[in-house]
Amino acid sequence: MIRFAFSNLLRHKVRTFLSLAGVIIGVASLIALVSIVDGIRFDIEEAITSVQGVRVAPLNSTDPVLNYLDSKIVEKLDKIQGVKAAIPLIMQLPKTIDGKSISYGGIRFVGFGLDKITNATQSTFSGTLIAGRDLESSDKDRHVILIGETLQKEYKKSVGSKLKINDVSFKIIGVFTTGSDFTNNVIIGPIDAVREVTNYPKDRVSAVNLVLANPSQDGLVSKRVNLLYGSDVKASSMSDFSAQFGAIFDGITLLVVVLASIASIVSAVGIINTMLMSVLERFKEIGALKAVGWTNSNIMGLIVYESVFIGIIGGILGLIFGYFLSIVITFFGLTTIISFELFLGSFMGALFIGLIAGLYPAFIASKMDPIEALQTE
Amino acid sequence: MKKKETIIEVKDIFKEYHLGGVVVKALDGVSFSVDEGDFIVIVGPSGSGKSTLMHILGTLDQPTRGDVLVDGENIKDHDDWEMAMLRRKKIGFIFQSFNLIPTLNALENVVIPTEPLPGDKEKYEDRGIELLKLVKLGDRMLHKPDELSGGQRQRVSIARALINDPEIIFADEPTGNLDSTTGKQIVELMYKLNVNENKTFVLVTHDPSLLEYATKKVFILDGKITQIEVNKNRKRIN
Repeated sequence: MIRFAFSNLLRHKVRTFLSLAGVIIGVASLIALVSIVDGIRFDIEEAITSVQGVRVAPLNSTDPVLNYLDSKIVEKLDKIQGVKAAIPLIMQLPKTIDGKSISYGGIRFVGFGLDKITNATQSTFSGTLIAGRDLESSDKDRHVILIGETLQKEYKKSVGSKLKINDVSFKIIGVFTTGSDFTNNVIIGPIDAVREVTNYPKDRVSAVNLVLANPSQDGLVSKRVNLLYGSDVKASSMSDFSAQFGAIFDGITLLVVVLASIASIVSAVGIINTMLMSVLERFKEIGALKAVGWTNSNIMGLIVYESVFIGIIGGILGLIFGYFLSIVITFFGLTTIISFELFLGSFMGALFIGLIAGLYPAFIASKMDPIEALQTE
Repeated sequence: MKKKETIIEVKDIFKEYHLGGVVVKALDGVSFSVDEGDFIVIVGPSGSGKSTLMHILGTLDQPTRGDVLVDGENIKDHDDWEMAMLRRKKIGFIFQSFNLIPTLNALENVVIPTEPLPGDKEKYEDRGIELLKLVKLGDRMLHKPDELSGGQRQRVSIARALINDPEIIFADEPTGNLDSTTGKQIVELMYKLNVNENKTFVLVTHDPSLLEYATKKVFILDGKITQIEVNKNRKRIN
C-alpha cells in the first residue's frame, strides 16, 4: 500500500512538488525564524546574567548612555542595609577608536568607580579575564582599560598594547569575555579617566551598581532603594531584567508561532487541493479498487498515506533547508540556535498537517459510490 | 451427476431511480440464479437494465426491493464493509475499459486486490505470476498498461479478477473496447477458464455473437428478463 501510495504521488510530479514546496517553505521559515529568536534570546540572557546585583538608574531611563544621575546619590545608596558597596558608573559611546570614528553604537565605554572594589570584573559584572589582569583600586588615576574579547579580535590588540579612545591613549591591561556578543564589545576603565575623555559632567553618573552583601537579596535591596529614593531613581535587580526580557521574548515567540500557524494553514490548503484533485481524477480507478474488494477504510488509508507522504517528505526537506537557512543567517552576524525540540516539533507539525489535510479528500474518496465511479468516462 | 451449487440467487428484485421526480425502473421484478460452473451471457440493448443487474449480482449495489442471496446468505442488511468483504472473497470483476492503474506494471495491477490483505506478499506475487502466465502474458509482466495493447490489458484485468480465487467473475462488456479479433480471443480465454478451470462467469454485453459461448443465455429488455435459455449447442474450442 505504501509503495502504491508513493507511486500515485509520482503521477503528477509538478503538482506534488508544488504542494511539497508549501510544506518545505513553511517548515524552513519556521526553523529559521525560531532559531533567530532563540539566538537573540540566548544572547540577551547571557548579557543579563553577566551583570550582577542591583542597578540603580534614573527614573524613566531608556538608554544608560543618555542617563544623568546626581552623584550625591552614591553615598546615600552606600548606606542602605544589605549594600556592600555602591559603585558609580558612567556609560558613554566612544567617538573615535584609534583615530577612526565609530559609526555604530555597539561599542560602549564604561567607567567604574574603583574606590571600593578590588577587582572590576568580579564585583561589577561577571566577566572572566582571559588575558592580563583586572582593574584594581590602585588603577583609579591611570589611563588603563579592560577590553572585551570581540574588540580584542576586531582591533587585533593584546595585553600591553595601546588603544586610542577619543584621541586619548589607554593601555590595555586585560581582556575579558562574558560569553555574549552584547557585552563583549565593552571597554572598561576607571571612572575619572572615562569622565575626562568623554567630557561627562563632574557631578553626574550614568547609573550606580550595588554590590550586595548577600547576592540572593537583590529583590529585597532594590525594593528598599525604590522605597527610599523612588521619586528620583529606579532600582532593578537582574531577576527583574530577566523577567522583562522573558516577557518580551514570549511575545516574539508567540508572533512567530502565529506566523508558522498561518504557513501551516496555507500548506494544508495546498495539500487538500492537491489530494482532492487527485482523488477526483482517479474516481474510476478508486471505483475499480472498491469493486475488487477494497473497503472504504482501505481507500481512506491509501489517500491519507499519500498526503502524509507529502507531509513527511516536505517536513524532512524543510528541516534541511531551514537548517541551511539558519547557517546562512549567521553569516550576517546573528546568532541562531536550533534546538532538538524545534527540529522535532517542526517535523511532527509537517506530518500532522499531512495527516489532517488528507482526511477530507480521503473521506470523499471512501464515501464514493463505486457504481457511479465506474460509470464516469 | 452431482447437483451444481447455486452461488448467487436474486428473487424478484426491483431497482428504481428517481430522476427529476420521475421514477425510472431499471429492474422490474427479476428472478435469476447463477450456479457453479455457469457461463452466463446476459444480452440486452443499452438501457435494458443489464448493467444494473450485474452490479446487484456483483454486490456493488443493493436492489430497492427483493432479495439477493450469496451462497444462500441474504445480503439485504450488509453494510459497505461486509459487501466489500464478499467481493474480496467471492467475486472478481472485468470492466469494459479495463480500469487498470496506469502507474503500476501488469503484475502489480494483478495483485492490487490483495494489497490491503495481511500475509505474505510474495505468495500473492507468485500467484500473480502464475495467472499472468495462464493468460499468456508471462513475457509482459513488468510492462505498464500504456505499454500493452487493448487485448493484453484486458488479459491483465482477467488475471486481476482471478487473484483472490473468486467463486464467480463478472464481466461488463469485456469486448466492448476491443476489435472483433481481439474480442474473440478475450472471450475464448474466459471460455477456456470456464471449461478447464471450472471458473463461473457472468458476461453482460449487447453483442449477441458472445451468446454461442454461453451455457445459459439470458435476454433482458426494459428491466425484465424476457427469456432464459440453456444453450444445448454450446460452441466447442480446443
